[in-house]
Amino acid sequence: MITLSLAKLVLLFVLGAGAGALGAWIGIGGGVVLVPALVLGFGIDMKAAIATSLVAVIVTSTAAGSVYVGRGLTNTRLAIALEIATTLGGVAGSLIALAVPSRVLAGVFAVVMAVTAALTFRKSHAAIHRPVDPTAGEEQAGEEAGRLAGTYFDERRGGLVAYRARRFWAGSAVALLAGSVSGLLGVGGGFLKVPAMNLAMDVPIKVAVATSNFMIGVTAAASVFTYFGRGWVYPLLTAPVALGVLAGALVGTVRSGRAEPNRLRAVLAIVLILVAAQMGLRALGISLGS
Amino acid sequence: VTAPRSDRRWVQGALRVGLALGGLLLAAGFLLALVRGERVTGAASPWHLLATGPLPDRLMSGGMLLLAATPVARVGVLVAVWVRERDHRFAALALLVLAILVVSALTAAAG
Repeated sequence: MITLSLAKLVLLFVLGAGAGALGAWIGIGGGVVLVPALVLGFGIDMKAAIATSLVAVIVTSTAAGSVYVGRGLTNTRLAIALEIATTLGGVAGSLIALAVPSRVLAGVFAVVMAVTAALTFRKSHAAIHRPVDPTAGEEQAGEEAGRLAGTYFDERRGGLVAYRARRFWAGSAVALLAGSVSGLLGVGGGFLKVPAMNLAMDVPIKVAVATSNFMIGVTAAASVFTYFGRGWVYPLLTAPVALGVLAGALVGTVRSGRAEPNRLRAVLAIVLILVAAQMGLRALGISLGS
Repeated sequence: VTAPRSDRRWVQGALRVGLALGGLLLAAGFLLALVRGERVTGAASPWHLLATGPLPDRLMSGGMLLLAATPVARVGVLVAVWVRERDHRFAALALLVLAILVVSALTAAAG
């Protein structure tokens, strides 16, 4: 049993709104922010924090998705193709978690995330230039049937940009890792999926953000039912967080359309560094969580 | 060939219905709990609460389950859309993802 004062309930709503806005803006679920905040700031049990975070990830994904799909930004075929590896990774992640000391895992992930953050920063100064078709509008943007390609409307450049996903197996390898992290930590794994699609697969950052947003919802849904079944849900805790996330995600998604790709990348890199530092501390035995 | 806009509307519709209904149930339950002065909450399974809990908990649990089911429904809509488009390769992939999700949910509900 936990007691939540009115002030705490308001704070939970505000926390959710912040995580939802950030998550929708940069294509992550906000779980990397929510789990430590709930555990450290509110003294919530790790498993209950993960269950609440998973609901929040799903809300972020759905709220953002309802906007992105209409704009033709989400490549659902790319999402489903990568989701095979991610769901398998989710299963593998929970099995690995049982066999390997969590400090070793935390150390490995800290290194992976730090490297990804560095790559994300570097790329932000050398974005790939693609030709723009200024005669086509947003309503013509979308994915192609039967293959991993499509077009998206670039608001800043004022036209339609075509792209094609490359190196599918490299992307799948990272998606497998993202799924494993998700199974281990109860986060969506968007902080790995966005760089994987953008850097390894040559997918434009805005399409990567929207596609990752779709994927994190599916990934979180695969594990949230397990936490539901084990009875790790505090309704009065999850409700204000989820409602805050809903409000924040809708605002964050609208902002994403107007944001500069380089700024999106910079925010993503900063989040990656924060997560890497947190995981690194855990690996060294300095526990911020439970 | 770019995917038709009508298909996008189906996906968007599924997302909006799930989000609106789930959000409304969650908000109604939360506000009712606030009005009733409930400040203490215990860990439980939403399925259990939906069946036996007090009204605010029932509403909030229903909302959470509906929200959790929305991504699953979205994958289901994609299967139908791609079967209709005769994009059989991607329909099969989506069906595989859907199967994993449904098995996960049913196993958890039974356990």
